[in-house]
Amino acid sequence: MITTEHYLVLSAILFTVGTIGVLVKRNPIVIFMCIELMLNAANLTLVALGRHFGQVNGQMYVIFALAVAAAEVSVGLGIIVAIFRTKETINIDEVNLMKF
Amino acid sequence: MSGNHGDILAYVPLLVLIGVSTAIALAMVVGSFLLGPKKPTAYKATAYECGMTPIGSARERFPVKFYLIAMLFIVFDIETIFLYPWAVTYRAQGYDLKIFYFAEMLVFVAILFVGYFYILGRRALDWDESERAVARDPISPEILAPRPPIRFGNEKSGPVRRLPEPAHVPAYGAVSQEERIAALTSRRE
Amino acid sequence: MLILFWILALTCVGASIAMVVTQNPVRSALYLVITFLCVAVFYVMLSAQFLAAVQIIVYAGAIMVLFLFVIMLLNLGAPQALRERGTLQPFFAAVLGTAFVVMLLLSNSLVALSKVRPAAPPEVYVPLGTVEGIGKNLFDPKQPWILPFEITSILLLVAIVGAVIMAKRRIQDHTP
Repeated sequence: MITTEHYLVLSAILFTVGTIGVLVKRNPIVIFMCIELMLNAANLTLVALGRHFGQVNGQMYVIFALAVAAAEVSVGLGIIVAIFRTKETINIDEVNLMKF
Repeated sequence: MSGNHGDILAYVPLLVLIGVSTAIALAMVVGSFLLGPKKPTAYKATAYECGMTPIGSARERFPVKFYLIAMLFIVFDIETIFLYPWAVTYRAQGYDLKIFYFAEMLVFVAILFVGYFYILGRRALDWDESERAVARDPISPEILAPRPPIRFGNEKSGPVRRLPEPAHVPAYGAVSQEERIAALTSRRE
Repeated sequence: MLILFWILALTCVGASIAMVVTQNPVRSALYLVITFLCVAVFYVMLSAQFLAAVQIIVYAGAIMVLFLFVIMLLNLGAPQALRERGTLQPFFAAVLGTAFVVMLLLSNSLVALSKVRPAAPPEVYVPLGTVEGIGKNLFDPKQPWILPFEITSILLLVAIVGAVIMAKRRIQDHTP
């Protein structure tokens, strides 16, 4: 029998993997992917808890989180492309100045 | 397996569809791998590029335009996510609620239309960077710099000459780029 | 159902770990698609059907295409483009990550949750997240979702403006 705890543990593991990826990787695009993974883990928690309490509100949060994620991705990737066009590198360790 | 599975059984056709499509795809790949004759030559191993000889690597940089369109597509994709549940529930409402629903979605779409007109105004969806489009945008200097004459190799009397620029256009570098653009794009009175 | 859950959970966690471990950004993107698809199936199992469809359409479709676009755009497909330096960092990351998971599991929330009985047994189908259920909740004047809904459009407007400005900006000389 699958309980809500199963889903919570799974999303905790996914969230941790995403966190580690954000800390370890040096490619900002992969860092973005890890952030998306963390958002997905949080979404999974919301849906599982909403199911646990028999309410649809958890899924509402997820829909808005999706919209935020899409906006974040489009602007964030725009920033990455702009950084690349300015500095010809996107290694996160070399992009440490606000202004060059 | 206990309890009432109810409508979850409605997903069985979906499962069958996924299974059948996976099986067909696998059968095609595995079948051609097992049955097809394999006599590789260096010429066959090259990438197929519509019969042409492949030029350069497949990993090339794309123009930014592609990516801008993909980005804008995502934003409007999110809009449709909100439109689906709205469209499904709209008809089931009474008259008063229908007006309320309609107003809600009208405000939403109106605000997004501001963004749409902004995209059109910035000409972000234009494909051609023709003179007109360039003249409206901030200009990169290399577009405006005088270009060297193009040689075709079959000239008899020296290289093809560039037409002289009109007299009222100031020389490159003498004035600011904006003035030069204005002079180049305006008609002489 | 339990077997399905375990298969999917292992696939999901394995794909996400592979995404972090691999050096090739294109491969990470493809592993991330696998993770997204598994999460979509979890949504179906949690009776959030509309969200599952949206997850596939938006995440696995659009956002991954965008990621791949940017990878191709920056020409990072070659694995040696951004080789991580050989440090002890992955080792520490693994240790700290395990500690983080253990900390999350030992936190009070799981204990608190076990005191609340679920509204419906986990294997009973409840029609929560159909398109109709979402729509009724989202646009109902008695529910608090109207303001977030309208503000979302402003957020999307800001995203449009930001994306266009970032992409259309030309790099200009600052030298006079």
